[in-house]
Amino acid sequence: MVGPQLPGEAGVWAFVLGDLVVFSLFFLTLLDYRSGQVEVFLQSQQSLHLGAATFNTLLLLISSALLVLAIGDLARARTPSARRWLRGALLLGVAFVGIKISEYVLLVRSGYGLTTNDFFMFYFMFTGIHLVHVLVGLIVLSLLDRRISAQVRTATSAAAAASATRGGSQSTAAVVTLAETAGTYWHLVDLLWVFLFALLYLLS
Amino acid sequence: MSNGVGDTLLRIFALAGPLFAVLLVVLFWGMGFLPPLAPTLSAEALVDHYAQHRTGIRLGATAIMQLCMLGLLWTVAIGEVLERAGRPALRQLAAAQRLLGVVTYVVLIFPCIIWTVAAFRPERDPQLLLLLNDLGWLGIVMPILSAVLQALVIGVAVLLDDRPRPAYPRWAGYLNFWCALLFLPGALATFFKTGPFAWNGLFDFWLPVVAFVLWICVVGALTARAVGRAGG
Repeated sequence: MVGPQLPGEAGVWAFVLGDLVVFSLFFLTLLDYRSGQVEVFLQSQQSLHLGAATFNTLLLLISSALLVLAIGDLARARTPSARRWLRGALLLGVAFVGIKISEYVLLVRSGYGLTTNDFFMFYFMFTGIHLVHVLVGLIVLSLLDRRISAQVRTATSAAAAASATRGGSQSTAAVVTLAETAGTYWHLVDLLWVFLFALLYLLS
Repeated sequence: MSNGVGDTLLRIFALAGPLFAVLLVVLFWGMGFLPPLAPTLSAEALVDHYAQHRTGIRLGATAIMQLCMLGLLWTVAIGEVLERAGRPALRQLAAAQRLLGVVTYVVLIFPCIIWTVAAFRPERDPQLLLLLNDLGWLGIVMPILSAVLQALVIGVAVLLDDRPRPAYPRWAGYLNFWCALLFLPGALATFFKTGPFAWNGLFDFWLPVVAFVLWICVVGALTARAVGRAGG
């Protein structure tokens, strides 16, 4: 974990890079379409729920921070505290999904949809694809939580045998790597949302 | 370990996928479908296109509707490599992968039938040609979830292979996730006639096609390499 080594496993960074390439294309396309119809985009932006989205941005940022705390505690073998932070991160992610879906419902009820205009096309498609990222992230964090539970059970039974130091530290290292991999992905989801938030809700 | 004729067959199966992917692109080009026809094209412009590419479209449709079966051999090879890992979870994922692979490739038959029907009678009412052309394009771009799930399942299986020498490198797992993501937007093609999410757009055609070819070729090559290497 110290030195020039990347946190998590190397493959996840390839995915991060690939995902950033795709979203960069998303953003460039949006800006390209926007440049021809700035008025439409600015006017459509007014219909979005800026307060809810700002709150959602905070939720994801705090969620990411909680995951950092969880990983730190895992590395120091403070498992109970790590799990509290992890579950907090999960809970905030679930809240993000709830608020996002509420905003969709409000917008659709007000008569906005995929085909309203180019702004709403980008809005629904990009935030929708991002939402899929969030859902995948929640599954990954839940699996991490289960993995930590499994490790706690093994450690408890191993402590009775009192001879599992080597095996114990190996499985701790594996869980920390898993947590860092999940964390890397979760930060990516956070970062992409910040860009989307700026481009869709704030750009004036 | 080595399984002689079986392994050789399996390697051929694995490489049948990349062969199909390359032919698919060539045949699409021959049909005049690269770049793809715009959803906004008028019935008259379509009549012209089908008149100019009548032979190419018949040839392409005829070939693709048969050759897509090569994708099933590719699917079988992946399933076998995952199964040979000897992990219960990977056996389940291999089963899911096989079923999803059948749908991914068999679904390609239908747009080919529709395109060849469209090219069959030049004297047909242009409005009917418009209808058939829409059917063909939405039919090939929209039913994408089987490929999305197949890629996800392969990706998860790659990451769950915890043997010291796993069948696939771990980056291949993440590549599968990335391809699954790129396939996704096609599902909503029915909502757009212009722009990046229309059936001829950047996110509904060009990126998914690049990802599809990359996916079949990379996973096919890695599968051929894995056969016999980590088997037993």
